[in-house]
Amino acid sequence: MLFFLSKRFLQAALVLIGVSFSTFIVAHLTGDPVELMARENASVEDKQQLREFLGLDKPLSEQYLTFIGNALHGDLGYSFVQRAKVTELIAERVPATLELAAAGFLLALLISVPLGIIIALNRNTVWDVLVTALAMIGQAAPGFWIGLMLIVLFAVELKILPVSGYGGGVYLILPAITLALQSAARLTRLVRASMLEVLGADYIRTARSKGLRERTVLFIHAFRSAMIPVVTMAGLELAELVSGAFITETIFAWPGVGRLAVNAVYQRDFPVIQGVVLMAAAFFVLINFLVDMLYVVIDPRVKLK
Amino acid sequence: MSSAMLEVKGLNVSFQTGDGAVHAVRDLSLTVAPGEIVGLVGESGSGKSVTMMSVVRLLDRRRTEIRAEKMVVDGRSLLELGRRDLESVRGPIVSYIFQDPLTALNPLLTVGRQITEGMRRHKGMSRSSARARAIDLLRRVGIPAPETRIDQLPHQMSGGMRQRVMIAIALAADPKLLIADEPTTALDVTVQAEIVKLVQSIQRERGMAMVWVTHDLALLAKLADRVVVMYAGRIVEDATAEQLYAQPSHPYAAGLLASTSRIDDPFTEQDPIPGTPPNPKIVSPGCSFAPRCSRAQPRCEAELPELHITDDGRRVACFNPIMRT
Amino acid sequence: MRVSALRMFLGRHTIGLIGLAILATAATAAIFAPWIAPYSPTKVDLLARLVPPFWVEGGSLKHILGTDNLGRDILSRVIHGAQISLAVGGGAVVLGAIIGSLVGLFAGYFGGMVDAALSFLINVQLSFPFTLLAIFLLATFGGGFLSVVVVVALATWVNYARVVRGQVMSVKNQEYVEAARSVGVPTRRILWRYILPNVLSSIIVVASFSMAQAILTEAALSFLGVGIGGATPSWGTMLNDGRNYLQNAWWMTAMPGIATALTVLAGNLCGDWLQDRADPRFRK
Repeated sequence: MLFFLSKRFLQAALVLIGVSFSTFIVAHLTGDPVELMARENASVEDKQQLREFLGLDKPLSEQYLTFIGNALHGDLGYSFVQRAKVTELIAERVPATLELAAAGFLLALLISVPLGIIIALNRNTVWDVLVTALAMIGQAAPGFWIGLMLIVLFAVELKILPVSGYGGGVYLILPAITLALQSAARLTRLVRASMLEVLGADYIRTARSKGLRERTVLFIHAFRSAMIPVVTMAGLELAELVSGAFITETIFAWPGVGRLAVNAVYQRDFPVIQGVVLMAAAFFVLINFLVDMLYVVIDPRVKLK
Repeated sequence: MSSAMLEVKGLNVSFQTGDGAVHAVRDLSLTVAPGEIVGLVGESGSGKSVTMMSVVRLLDRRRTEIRAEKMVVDGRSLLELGRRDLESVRGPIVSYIFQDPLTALNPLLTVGRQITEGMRRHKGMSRSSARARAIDLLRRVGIPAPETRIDQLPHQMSGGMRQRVMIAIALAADPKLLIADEPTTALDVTVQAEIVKLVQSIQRERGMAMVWVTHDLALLAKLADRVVVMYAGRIVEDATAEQLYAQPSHPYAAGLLASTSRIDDPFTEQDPIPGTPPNPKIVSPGCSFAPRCSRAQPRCEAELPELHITDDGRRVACFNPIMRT
Repeated sequence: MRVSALRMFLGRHTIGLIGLAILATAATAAIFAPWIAPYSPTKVDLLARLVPPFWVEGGSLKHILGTDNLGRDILSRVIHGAQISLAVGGGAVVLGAIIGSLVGLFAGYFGGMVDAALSFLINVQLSFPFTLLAIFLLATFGGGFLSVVVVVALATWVNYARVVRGQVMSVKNQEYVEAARSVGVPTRRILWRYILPNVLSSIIVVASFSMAQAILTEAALSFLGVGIGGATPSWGTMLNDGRNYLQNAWWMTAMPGIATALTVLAGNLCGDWLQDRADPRFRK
């Protein structure tokens, strides 16, 4: 167990270093941020001073090591544009993004798991064909476009939900649906396929041969096995949701990390970009780790190696 | 005969597949007396497993059509039973041992759970008394240290042990008819003999009726009271073990016996039956075995031989059966 | 796993054929856009601004799908938009397939350190919030066709790498490969003539799904304003334009979205179909 943990930790650290390094390189290929930051009438000396203050005059390798060293102490640097600590900027926005991602993820699961099971049990009926077709369309349509259409329908035409903004529960509904639909579509198809595969397994026949109630067969014997691939996929979907939140937050003017990052990109605010990328990558690594742990809980055959 | 444990008359089973229906069992009639061991033998695809699974409808309901004139187990007609009533037959009356203990046990549940759930469902036993009985059963099927094994998962056991667990599961609700569907095929040769012996001794102890489905005639020699031979979905011969091993009547049964390895004489050249089993999608008007049969007559290709009772009391479906010499 | 109910319903090949038909239609629209489209996609007509589609009150058959905020004909723009979507999709698929397949081929065949290094690369790529990386790169290096193709290929090469790696690992130990190795066939030739043909069908399957993913990605990037600029409309830029007119001209957003969804759907359908055909386990 300890071996497993330390191995995973090492892997995670390596991945994060890879991510931070490539972001760092890209960020510095993009030109001199001082030109963006300094006042228009700033003299060459002023700019040089600023450069020195920010440590931009040092060799790249040294800058990177400083960045990593500071990051390990929880310091991701200062935003060039907003003149604030990157960690503070991100921390301010994290709750909104987590709220949105959690709502979207929950919604995706609440739609896909029951729906996938129901159509698996009624396979090749009209309902199955209908839901599968809808899921395929849901997978194909751009998520943000669905979001825009939802705005047209519910906010513009029916006027029952706000167009955008942040606040109480009503503001959460449309962004959460937008974020959830594509995941829900993918997961529904996966749950269906997984459930069908398990229902055809020999041990389900054994369970039936014992005369167990059908619901025992379905929920004790089939459901748990069917959820194993779903858990893996759901972990990936959660990571995907966080990524999808970048666009969704932009559409709905949701004050989350995604919007912070998108704005930072337009303003070439490298420390913020770097910080968000690093946080997102760390989140992804964490999710993967949690999925592995969850595996062990669901499937006792899995041993930690 | 109304005292039969199992009575099946005119059973037809067909499957829906992607390209058309497959008629897996045709016009099959079979009785099993209480306490009797019947061996049901045939090549794979002959419909032997399908026949036994269709008794309590363990086949995929959406893809299978089961029709029968009569299907009675322990005095209960199964044809009219709804799902709930059928559930009460599965386990306490008819119970199964399946072929591959690797896939037939749920990998995520402890063996204890898998043994006790049937008892708790059918006998209304408490958790603790079911557990005690499960430990007894595990001990009976020859699992050492059952008190610890009961909390293990199938993958922590060897193939032979898993099959013993499978047997314990089948016995959990005290069935009156035990159907063993090739229970030794997936096991090592050395383990096979032990499992056969175990099932045999349990059958004697409990006196329950049994159907042993297999493709191995040699296995049935010491085990079965009666042997039923199937070919292409039909019974071709139904005789007492004594009669069949002395002299099979149907050419296919004879071929099967000739191709069977014999434990007492392993060095004799075996004669496999020439040709391959027929495509189940093609229905011939005559005997399905005719194309492979050395005793075939022109009539065999055109006309279906009915299963009829011969002078010595066996049932044979052949126009030109092998006579006692 | 992927036995779709639709396929059962409509027969084995119908679904794939529908997908192919949609893709063919989109390709035709892209190639012959100047002749098919009723108007020039950039022709501004300020007198006919925000005209709704013909079936909506106020619409006319002159502009079947309506016009945008500058009075440009939406149908013409959607038809011309197919050019960019398919070109980006096609370009990204070719580039992604080459990079990804090579990485997968080397990682799978050589194993050991090569595999460890390339797998690490794959993991790093997968840990990136891709959307952010993409807009970052495009905002930095500027849009333009080539940049967009490269960035989208960057999003999809991992798909190929993972699939090809797995397949190569199972193929490389098969007897005919061992045999070729033992008689001294050079490694390059083994990779090229013995291994690649065996993984080609998987590459094509992945390419089909990746085409769909590429079109979606391009739409998202253009929507965020970092796609291919210039005069030629893309479905993504049309979505971006429409965003400010959701209140009074939903069709500006609806039409390019539907075009995108249909094309992506077609790519996925073809992928499903090819996958079923390529994997003998699915043939029953």
